[in-house]
Amino acid sequence: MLRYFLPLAILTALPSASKAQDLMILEYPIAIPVGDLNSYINEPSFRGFNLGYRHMIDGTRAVGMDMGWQTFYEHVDRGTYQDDNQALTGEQYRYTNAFTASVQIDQIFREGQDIRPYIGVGIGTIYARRTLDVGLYRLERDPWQFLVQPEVGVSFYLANGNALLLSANYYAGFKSKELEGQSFLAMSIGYAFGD
Amino acid sequence: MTMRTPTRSLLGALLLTALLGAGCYPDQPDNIAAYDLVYTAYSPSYDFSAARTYSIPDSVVLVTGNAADGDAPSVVDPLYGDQIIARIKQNFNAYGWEEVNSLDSPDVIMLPAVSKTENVTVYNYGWGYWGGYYPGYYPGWGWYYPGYAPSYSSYTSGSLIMLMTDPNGVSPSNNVPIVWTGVVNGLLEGSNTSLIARIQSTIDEAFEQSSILKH
Repeated sequence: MLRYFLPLAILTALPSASKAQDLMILEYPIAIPVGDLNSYINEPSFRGFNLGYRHMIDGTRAVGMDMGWQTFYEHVDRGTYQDDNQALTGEQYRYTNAFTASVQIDQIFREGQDIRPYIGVGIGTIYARRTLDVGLYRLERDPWQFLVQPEVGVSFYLANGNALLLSANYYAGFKSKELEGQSFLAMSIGYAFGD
Repeated sequence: MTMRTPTRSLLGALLLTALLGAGCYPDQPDNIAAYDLVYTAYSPSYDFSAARTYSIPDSVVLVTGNAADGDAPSVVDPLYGDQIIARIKQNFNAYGWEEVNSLDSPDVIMLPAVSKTENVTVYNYGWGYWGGYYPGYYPGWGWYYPGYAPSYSSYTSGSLIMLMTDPNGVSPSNNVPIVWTGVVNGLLEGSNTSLIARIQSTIDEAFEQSSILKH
């Protein structure tokens, strides 16, 4: 775990301009699978990262985009997995690698304060690669799904335009032909820095 | 955009590298028991509810390569082969099927084979093995999977391969439809005494997976 936070600690020591109009965001999320994804993998994920970009329209509104990657994993001692007209029984290694990309809009409150809560919402896509390994067999599904991503968070101003972020994001994937909607809830700690 | 200094870009790259190090597939099987598995697949276009009778040979062929047409195939040691046949019959009968002779127009014919060969595509072991058993067979026949494509491994050491065929659905080009496929993998591991128990339990699992066979 330390290896994830160490570079973050180094970055916070960097100087930056004070008037941030554009922000880059790096986040480390811990994710909990929801719905169909939870039925497949009932374990939280500590493997992932998010990159974000925000342009401040004014002091309280921002637009930008988020990209992320989250790996879910569960080991099942021995069980049966049904997939339409196929079935596998054995020791199972279940994976879902979820790649997300969305356009976001945020509303930030308490302009000028060091601690600023914010809410936002985004739309985009989630590419969810579901993999099941049983013995020598691998079953895969990898749908692209429509994504809605609401978020709430708080930013803590550090210095020189840098800020620490704590946020909760809900990644709601919508059902596609190949798979039910793949959704998860992520709690993130992040770092924002601007020009 | 922001990444203005090389230092920041470098640190960003380091952060990404650290996160990517976590990997897409964080854990993999690390012992041979983890490879013991049962796989089944069936044709969605075949009407299993209308099929009631089956036939099965007296022995399990041993796939050693591609048997030439007319050659007598090698068979699995009856110590194990008989157990395989008996367990398949037991499961068929428990699901309400009736065994008939292969010449008495069975609805399906089950062909059990064991492959010990490595690096051979699992199902394509050649029709020559069944030339002496399959009704109406003559050299040049093949088989196909109507409406589905079973997943397979190219590494097949120690596999029991059960192919349920429809002898009434032979295509004009002499391809026999395989309407259900069952594979038990990992059978070459373990002691002889545990092997029989594992043969029985894994064949049971193949049928348990396949409620579509139940009447």
